[in-house]
Order: sequence, then C-alpha cells, then structure tokens
Amino acid sequence: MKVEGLRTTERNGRRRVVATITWEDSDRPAQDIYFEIPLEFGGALTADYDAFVVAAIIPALWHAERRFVVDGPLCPTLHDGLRVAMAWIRESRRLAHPPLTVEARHRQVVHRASERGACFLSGGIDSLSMLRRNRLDYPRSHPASIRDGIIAFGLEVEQPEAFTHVVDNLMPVAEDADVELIPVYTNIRALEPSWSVWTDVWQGAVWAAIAHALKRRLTLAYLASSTSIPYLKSLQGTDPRLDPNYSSEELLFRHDGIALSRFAKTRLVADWPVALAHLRVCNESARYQTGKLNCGRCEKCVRTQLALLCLGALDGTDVFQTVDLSEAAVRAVVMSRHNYWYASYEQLIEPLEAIGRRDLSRLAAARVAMSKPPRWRRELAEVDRRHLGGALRRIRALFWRESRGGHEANGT
Amino acid sequence: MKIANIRLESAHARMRAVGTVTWEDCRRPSQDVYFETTEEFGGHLSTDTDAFLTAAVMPALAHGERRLLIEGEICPVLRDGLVTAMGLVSHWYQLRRPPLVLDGKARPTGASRSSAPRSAVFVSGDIDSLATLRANRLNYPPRHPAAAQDGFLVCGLEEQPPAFKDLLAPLSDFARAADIRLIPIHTNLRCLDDSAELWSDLSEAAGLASIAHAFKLRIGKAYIAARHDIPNLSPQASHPLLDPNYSSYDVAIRHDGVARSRLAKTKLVAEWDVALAALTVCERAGDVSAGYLNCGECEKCLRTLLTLLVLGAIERATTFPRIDLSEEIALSTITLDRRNVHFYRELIAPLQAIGRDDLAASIQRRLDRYHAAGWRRPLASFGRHRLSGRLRGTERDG
Repeated sequence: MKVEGLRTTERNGRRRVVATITWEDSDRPAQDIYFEIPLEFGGALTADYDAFVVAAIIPALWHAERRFVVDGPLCPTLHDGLRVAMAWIRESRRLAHPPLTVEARHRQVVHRASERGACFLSGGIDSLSMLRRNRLDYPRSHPASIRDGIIAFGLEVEQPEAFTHVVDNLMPVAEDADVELIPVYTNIRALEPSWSVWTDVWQGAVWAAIAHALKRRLTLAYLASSTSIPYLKSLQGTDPRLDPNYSSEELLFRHDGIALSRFAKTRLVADWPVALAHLRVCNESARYQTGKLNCGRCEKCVRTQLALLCLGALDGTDVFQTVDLSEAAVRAVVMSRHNYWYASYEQLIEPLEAIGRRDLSRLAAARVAMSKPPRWRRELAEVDRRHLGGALRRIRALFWRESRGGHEANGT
Repeated sequence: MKIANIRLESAHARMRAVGTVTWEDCRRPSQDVYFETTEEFGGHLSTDTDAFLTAAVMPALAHGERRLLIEGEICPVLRDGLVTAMGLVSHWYQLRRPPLVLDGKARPTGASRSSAPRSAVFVSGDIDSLATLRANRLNYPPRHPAAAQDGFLVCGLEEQPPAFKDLLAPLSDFARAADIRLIPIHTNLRCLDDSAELWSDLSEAAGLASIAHAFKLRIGKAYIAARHDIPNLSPQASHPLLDPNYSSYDVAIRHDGVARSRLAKTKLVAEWDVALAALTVCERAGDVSAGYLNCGECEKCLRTLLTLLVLGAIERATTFPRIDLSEEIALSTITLDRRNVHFYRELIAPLQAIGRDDLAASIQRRLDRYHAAGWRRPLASFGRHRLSGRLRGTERDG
C-alpha cells in the first residue's frame, strides 16, 4: 500500500485534507481518503501523513499488503506504536501472512500544539460518562480537562439528516459541560466497509486517525471504552491493549474508562440531568426523530432502560420513543440469539432483584448463562492451551475466518 | 495509609527525596521511603506526591488499607491510572479487597510535555533493557524527545543484586559508548513489603515508575523493558496493560518491547558490541568469578548463552566465563516454569539449524517432561472439583 498525494482543499464552508491510498498486493482501486471540518475549526486540520497512516495501516495488514509506503515523514513514536498494534492483531487474529513493513522516513522534530484535550462524543453511555467523570475528577485548569467534543460523520452515522439530529441533540450537553463540539466528516471506512473488520480490529485506529487529523489543535484525545476489566478477553477493534499504540509524540490517544462497569457509567449519566435528557444509545439512525433518537425497542435501548430503571432514573427521561419493560417484551429482545451483550446483563442481575423486578433479574441471569461457554468448553480450552499448543484454537480461528468471509480471498 | 512530610535531604554528597509512610489499617511500623542519587542529579529530584503515591499504592492495596491519604496534590491523570491498575490486579488475582481510596486534592495544572523533553530507560544490563535501548537508538533520531538520553541504574530492588560497584563500572563504560547519562539511584521502596510475590505479581512496574516520577523535573518519559512478548503474556507486575497506568500528566510510562521475542531482543544486543560487553543476566551474583559479570552456570546464564550460541555471538560474550555447552549441562541446569518455558521453546529450531541437535533434544526432553507434568495439573483440578480431592496425589507428583 502507498499513501501519497497529501493536499488540502476548501469548499462549501469546510476545509479538507486528502491523501491517495493505493493498494499494491490487493486487487482494489486507489482511493482518496479525507478528513473534513467546518472552516471555523479549519486551523485545527493537520496536513501531514500521521492520520492517514493510522487510518490505513490496519486494512493494509488485514489484506496482506507486504509493505506500507508513506510519501512523507512519520512520527517515530507512532511508527513504534503501530508495530506493537500490528503484533497484537497478528497474534490475536492468528494472521498467517508476513508482517507488514512500514517504509517512511522519521520526522526529526516535534510540532506540538498548546496543551488541549478532546473526547469523542457520540451521546451514548460510554462517552457521556467519560465526559462527566472528567468534569468531576479534573480541575478545569488542568490540561487533561476535556475542552473539545468530536463527533464524526461517516463512521457509525452515515445519513446527513441523522447526523444533524445527533449534533443538535448533543449541543445542550456540550454547552453544559463547556466543551466545543467539532463535527468531523470522513470517508475512511470506504477503505474497508466490512463491519466485522471495523469492530474486531480497526475501530480504535480510525478514531485515533481523526484525532491525528486535528493535532494542530489537540495534544490529547480520549476514546471511551465500551468494555470493562472483567470482560477484557479477546482483542477488539477498540481495546486498551491496542489504542494507546496509536499515540504519537504530538498526540496522546487514551482508551478511557475500563475500570468502570457499564452500570457504574450509567449511574454517572443518570446523575447528570442534561446528559440524561439527551442520551443517545440507539444505532437505528433511520428511526431518529427530533428530540427522540432512541427507538426504545432495540436491544441496546432495552438494556439501557433496564439500567436506568434500577437507578430510579427511567421516569426522569423521555429520550426513548417507547418504553415497555414487561417480562414478555424484555424477553423477546434480551433472549434473542443475536444479542451478544451478556456482560451488561451480568451487572443488572442484583440491581433488578433489589428493586423487586425478580422477573427481569431472572431474565438477565438466563441471558448470562446462555452466553457463557459451558464449563466443559473452558476446561477443553485449558487443555488445548497447555498440552496441544493451541491447535484446537487455531482450527477454530480458521473456521472463524471462513465464516466471516473475505479473508481467504486475500490469500491469508 | 498516610504519606506525609515529603522532603529533600542531603548528606555525604548524596541527595534524597524522602516521605514518611504510616499504615492505618494494619500493624506495620511507620517507614521513611526514599529515592537517593548523587549530588550531580540531586537537583532533579521532585518532592511532589507522584513518586510516593505510585510506590505505595500496591503495598497499601495488598495489605487491605482502606485509603491512601497523601499530603499534597495528586495528579488527576495518575489517580485515574492507579484506580485502573488496582482494578486490573484485583481482577487478575481475585483480590477480595474493598477498593483503596486515593485521598488528596487534585493538582490543578500539569507540565507541558515539551517542558521536560528527556526520556529515560531503566538499565540493568540484562537482555530486555539493553534491547530496549538498542531499539530506541535504531528507531529514533538522536535529538528526538523520545530518544533515550538517561539511564536509571537502580540499587535496592533486586532480591540478590550484584554489588552496585560491580555493575556501575561496566555500565558506566556502556553508557558512555551508548551516549546516555547514567543516573545512579538508591531506594528502599521495597521496605513497604519486601516479599518476592508482591514484587513480581503487583509492584515491580509501579516501583520503577515511582523512580521515574521522582525525576520528573528532568524527564518526561520512561521506558520499562518488557520481559515477555505478546504470545506469552500472563498477569504480572509489569505488563503492557498495567504499566501505562502509572503515567502522570508530566511523566509517561511506556512498557517497551512487547512485540519482540527474547530471541529477537538477544539478536539486537548481540549485534551491538558495546552492549554485549556489559551484558549482565546472572541470578547468582555471589558465584561470579573475577573478571566476569555472569556465573555462566545458572539457568538464566545458560539460557542466554544458548541464545547467543544460535546467534553466532557466543565468542564475543566476554562477560561470561567460557563454558562448553553440552547436553549434560543443559539437562542439569534447565528448570522450567511458566515464566521461562517459552524462552526455551523458541530455541529448538535455531539450535537444530546450527547443527546442535544434542542441545535441541535436551531442551525438548525438558519441555516434554514439563508438559507431561502439566497434564496432571488440570486432572488434579478436575479431581478437586468433581471427585472431592481423590486425585489430589497426582497434583503433588506433578
């Protein structure tokens, strides 16, 4: 893969930095990848290759490109971190192809902006609780106190109208928290549209790439963790083992909040009235309405409603288009075989019991039991690890790759 | 636990930052914990809370203290990280402790990262630290802020350390050749709890990080050399998930080298003559003959010599006495445990490639025996849980 042709353009009230990505070993077309922000923030946009390298290197690794050539200097700290991130991914996903070689000259000097912290703000539990905790724990004068909130178009929200709803919905939160909201537009995901690549290996790198694109304004960017310590098992696309490796000497990228459970994070949000009034957890963006961004029916909405119910905060918000926490309605959603979120239900068993909703507590427990591998599987995994050198795991990984598709087609 | 009266003291051409630690919930005496260096570097010692807080947090957690109250302001980044670090080790080791509350006012400011642009590496003379420095030299331009300019040489942390003076001379030569300033440090931070388990499971990286914080007036980044690579990670006191949590806003702590195997690291060292001339891996400092830095007979020496052999560098390894690496020596010296077994596994193919099938076979025999004993462990576990311990005898045999 080659990354070249860096240029900056302006149009329609926005400034854009663009680079051309050319695949060398995969049969894929060259693509212009961009990051774009409104002109009022245009001074934040950085015209160097760090952002593009971070954005593109994981797809290059995934698709077995043999080298990664950068037509410009690269921060050596970032280069070092990328080697480590790729080693994590190669090991965790059992990639069989040779490691990717980065060909770039090192940037000799550090151009660091004045100290300024930002966070990625989606309006969900993870990001709002992160902002809240930052406000509670960091004096406003501290350079790690969050001053900007970044909201990205083109990653998980891709319809302009839905994005407008999301930004409008976040404005009161940003005002209350005294952060400046910066919308960023990007087409990074055109490099690799696969949802499983996004969630399994790539997500953290993409968020980091956006932060790098803004490093004339930022020195620190927080990405909220969507997991917590007891559930850190297989490597995910955004992961505390991966994300810090996307830092450079100029920009520190922090994976924040693994010490808190989802339930503890929900409590932080529930105790912050403006956040509770503008919470957006739902990914069903086609159903967004002004002031009502949560369908109330999907698994994520129901899971959040259950947590708010336990915290006595569900009656205090009207962010859901509908609320039905009858046993039958919850069962239909929670026990669906497409629901992978057992960790959050594990944290709800006792609180639901404590508020007298034994029916829902039993459902949560059943959900957890359904998701955890049976004891014989855990014991077999242990025997495999100790005595079979992980052969069974490798066979399983082979099937996993086949079932996810795409990977074998690229020679891996 | 309380930490108070953090101060600078000076005596006998040395300076030390000292803090008084008082236990509240367990019966242990008050202790003065210190970080000491020579006058040359004494002006860079800091008297703020970061070093003492980081040094004390794991002993306080392990001994069930309910709070850690420190006199002075706490960096909010460090506090955040320490909470995460405690969460990680509590989960790893299933510590049934109430959370330790870090009590103190948040510091309202932080230094700009560009105000202390020096980086330091902990230099012990072993493969990991020398490889970290070598990789740093190869990967960073000399004047880059992440290029290591200082080396911390610490006395007071190892169980059986080589005499400080024995290490200082060769490492001073090495430091000159490698163009780093060697900063000699004495600390008694392990007096808070000197058990080997606490150090290796919980405290090691926190202890090293506390030393970096003590020198925050001089450095903005410190590298802790990784011992294990990604495929062979297991919970322990220095770990890529844990160590960065000991960073403050002012000093970044990096766990370095996790992407390289021990063989790859040894290759880095073997290709750097000045490092090879300072290589010190030995665990039995008392058995080292005059003129050498390693006994050449202990497990760690043998493992390193085998690695240097496959790399074609054993003749240049002058810090070891000349040893004839035979099958008998390998069989009698190699003792495997979960923390070193992978180091041997990666040597078998390279030993075969250089025609030393005898050594490869002896390692394989040791590995087979280790794994043969290993299958009895899950069986014993199964017996404990399912058969009320009727198979427990197998565990002892294993």
